[in-house]
Amino acid sequence: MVDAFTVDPDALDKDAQTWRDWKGDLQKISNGIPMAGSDFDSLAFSILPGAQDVLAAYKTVTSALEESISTGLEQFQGFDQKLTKVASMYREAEETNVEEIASTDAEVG
Amino acid sequence: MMIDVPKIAADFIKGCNTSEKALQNAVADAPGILRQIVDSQLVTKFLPGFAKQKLIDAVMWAVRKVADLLYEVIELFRLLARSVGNPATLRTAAEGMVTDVATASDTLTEDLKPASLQGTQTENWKSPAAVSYATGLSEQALSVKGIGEIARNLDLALRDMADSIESFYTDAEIAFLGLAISVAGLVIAIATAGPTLGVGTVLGLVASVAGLIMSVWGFVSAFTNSASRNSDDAAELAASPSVVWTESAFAA
Repeated sequence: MVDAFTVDPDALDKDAQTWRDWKGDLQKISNGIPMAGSDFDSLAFSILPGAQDVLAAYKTVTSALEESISTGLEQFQGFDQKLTKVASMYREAEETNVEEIASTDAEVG
Repeated sequence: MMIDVPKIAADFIKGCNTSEKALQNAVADAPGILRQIVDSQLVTKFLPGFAKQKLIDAVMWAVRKVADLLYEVIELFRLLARSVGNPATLRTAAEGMVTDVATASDTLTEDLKPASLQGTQTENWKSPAAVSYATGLSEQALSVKGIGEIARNLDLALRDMADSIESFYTDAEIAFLGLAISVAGLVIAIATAGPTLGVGTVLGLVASVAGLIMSVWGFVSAFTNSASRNSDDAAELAASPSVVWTESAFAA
């Protein structure tokens, strides 16, 4: 514990793991997007009139979705890293405080 | 409505091959048949040779004109059969879009709530950073939720496209019937022209032209319906909102 703040570094470490798991789930969602041309044949749309417009719109929207999710993956990683860093900083601060208290105790003693 | 588009395409190819062969044979046999007729019929057998040939040439010109049109339509059906598309593949992709993307993102959205985390509980973490953490969590949950909405639009677009292809081929089957009628009309006319030289052939040409009109009308109708429907779907999909992923201050 740190004075003036309530913090449990172990809780933050557990949260960091949760965000890592969620990142894995989000990655699976991204991988699950059926991409025309790679996951399935673009010719499935046929070459009937207007079909190529649907295909082009489909590709645009799926690519944008994939790109957006990649930002999400970075965000989730950012949460994981920030939590790990904060937990570590709190632990260091707590250790420093304990050392200072011990030193002060020794001087007082 | 679900129809077996690949089977229809295969039937088109088979029918095209049969029609083309029948047409080639009929056109190849036509001059000989016409020669026999002009030489044997009362109304023509006493005509001078050049007049008989002129008559044969005139009928053959019309036969070849119609036959050429029929060959073009046959090629069009072959092109359609090759570019048939695959509704089953589109529906499989749509299912994946729902299961692996829409439903999975719904589940993840449900998971992204304060109760799933420990740092969002004040007994574990109480500080200004904890407030930013909680805000960031709700921002990320909203972004994940947006995936599901887009995935459902994409699912709809894939299913509509599959329906559109099937609808087109249902119309095209009617057009193909017109082609079959027109080929049969010409072939039969040539084969049975004997008793009424010219009249039978001309009637056959009329039948062929009528069949062609039916084919062409069927095509125009099928193409128009397909183009209109697909353009609407494309515009709707292109206008669908995209996910703008919120970048949370906490994750910076």
